[in-house]
Amino acid sequence: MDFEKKLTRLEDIVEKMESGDLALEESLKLFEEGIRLSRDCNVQLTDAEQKVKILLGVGADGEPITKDFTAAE
Amino acid sequence: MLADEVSKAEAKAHKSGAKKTTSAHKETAEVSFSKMDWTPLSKKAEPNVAPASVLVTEDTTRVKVEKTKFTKKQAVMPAAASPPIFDDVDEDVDNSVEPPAEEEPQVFSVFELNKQIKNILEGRFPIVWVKGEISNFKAHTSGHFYLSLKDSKAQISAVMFKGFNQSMKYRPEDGMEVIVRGRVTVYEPRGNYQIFIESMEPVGAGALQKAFEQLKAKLQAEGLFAPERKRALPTLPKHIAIVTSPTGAAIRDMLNVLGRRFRGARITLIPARVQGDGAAAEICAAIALANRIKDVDVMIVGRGGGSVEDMWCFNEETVARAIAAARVPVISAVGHEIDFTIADFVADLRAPTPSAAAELVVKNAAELQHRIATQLRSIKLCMTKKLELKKHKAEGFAKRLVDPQRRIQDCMIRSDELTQRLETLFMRSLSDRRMHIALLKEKLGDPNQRIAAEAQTLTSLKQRLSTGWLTFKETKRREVEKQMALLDSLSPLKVVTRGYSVVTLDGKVVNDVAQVKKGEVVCIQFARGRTTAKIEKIENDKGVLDS
Repeated sequence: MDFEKKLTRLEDIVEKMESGDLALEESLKLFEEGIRLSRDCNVQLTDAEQKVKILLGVGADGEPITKDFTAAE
Repeated sequence: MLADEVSKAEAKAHKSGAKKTTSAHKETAEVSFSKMDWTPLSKKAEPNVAPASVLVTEDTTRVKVEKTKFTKKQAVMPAAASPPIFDDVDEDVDNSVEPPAEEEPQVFSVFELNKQIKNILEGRFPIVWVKGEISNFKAHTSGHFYLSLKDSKAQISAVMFKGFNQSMKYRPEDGMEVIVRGRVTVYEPRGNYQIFIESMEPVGAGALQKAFEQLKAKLQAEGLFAPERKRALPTLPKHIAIVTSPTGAAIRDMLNVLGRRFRGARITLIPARVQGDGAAAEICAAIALANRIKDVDVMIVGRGGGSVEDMWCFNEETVARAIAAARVPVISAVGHEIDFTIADFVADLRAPTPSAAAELVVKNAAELQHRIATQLRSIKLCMTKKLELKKHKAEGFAKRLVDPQRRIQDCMIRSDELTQRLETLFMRSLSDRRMHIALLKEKLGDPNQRIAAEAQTLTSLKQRLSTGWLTFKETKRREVEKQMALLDSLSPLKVVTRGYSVVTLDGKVVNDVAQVKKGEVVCIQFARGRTTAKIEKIENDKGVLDS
């Protein structure tokens, strides 16, 4: 599931839970899912392994030809 | 001006222009400007940007350069090998020109005179700085500029050859006040003199400032800065292209911010020099490359702070147009805070610094993070509330559960109550029955009376029975007596008394001789006593049958 879908699902869940007329069991299930989604989203935003490349050229298919880049301190 | 003279002058211009470029290079690095007012700070004047109030520089470096140049020019132009000084040309001086002397006045040919004048003028004014207003400006299709410089009292023709004007950052126009640096030259065939301009500097504002304003006005007029052209940045960038120097502080700053704020995007650095000659072309090429990378969805073009000249490439028209034509939204990130470049105006978003550009490109991501945090809080709150509610409910139920002891007591009370009710009910039923019995009793009346009555009836019946019985008994007795008498008369015993006996065999009366056989013993009953007899002879009415 991509980031946007996760976010939309998370918002759905919050809305559902706020509507309030859920059985306890169901709301617990949603709660768990919501926590998991928010964690996933956050990971995607902050903890993903960031790939920084320096461009050497661009292939005919639009794919960049690169190598890893680290900025000199 | 004749064509051959033009080409000759041009050749000269090219030569010294080439030299100029070399020296300009050396000096560019030393020139620095205040970012605020664009007024040159350095005493070392770069050829294209001369201090407005200085006509002849005192700078030794430059003077040396001029001297060298002059020497070389003399070498190139043998005609001017010996600068004409009035004293040196005494023998050539005509009396008609010079005050009368002892010798005959020298008569020049026009050609010679012009040649002398040329030598003197060009020798006397190898380099001049002239301040004036441009008029009659004309850019020839050949690329040369023709103009006049004038002030309130005089004017002088001027020409600026292509080789010199190509490196100008702005375009001269009529009415512009300028300081030019050049050489006075004489065009011998016409006897005209003019200035060959080597550099031209607007008065008041620097050349770069002028160029900046002109390009800005031009691009603005084209609508390149229009707000409606600005594109929105992607919410979550997938692939960020960064056009900058791989060695500058800018890339380091940007990567720092991006690493901290949002790690979900690919980042491709497209290296380009961001200062010096050729920087603009490299930036344009880098933007073109970024356009070709298919999934790049946002671009940052920039560099860290520096002098106006360092950042000049971001004021180049080519760069501005490359940014305007970029396939994806472009964030410009040039310098520090207050510097605005043409690139900033054209870009879809202007960031005051490279770090700020990185912040901006992931701003939405940061907002998303905030949104997620909010959602998370909502969920937790909802859950807590829900659990509270359920707990509350459960407690309510618990309260409503009755203590069994009390329940027993309740039962006992209830039982007592029911017993009571039952007793009452029973008692009532009992009394009802009693009443019913009384009623029935009443209906039944006094039994003694009835007994007496019945007893009377009984006595009467008894009496009647007794009477009846006696009568009946008498009647029957008489009847029995009568019958007994009759019976007695009929009794066989009576017959026997008269002499008859009864013979029986085995208890049966024998009344036929056939009943007996010879030898059998029969019993004979007499009126008094009896005996047995053996049959000896049998005979019927007709005779003896056996004996």
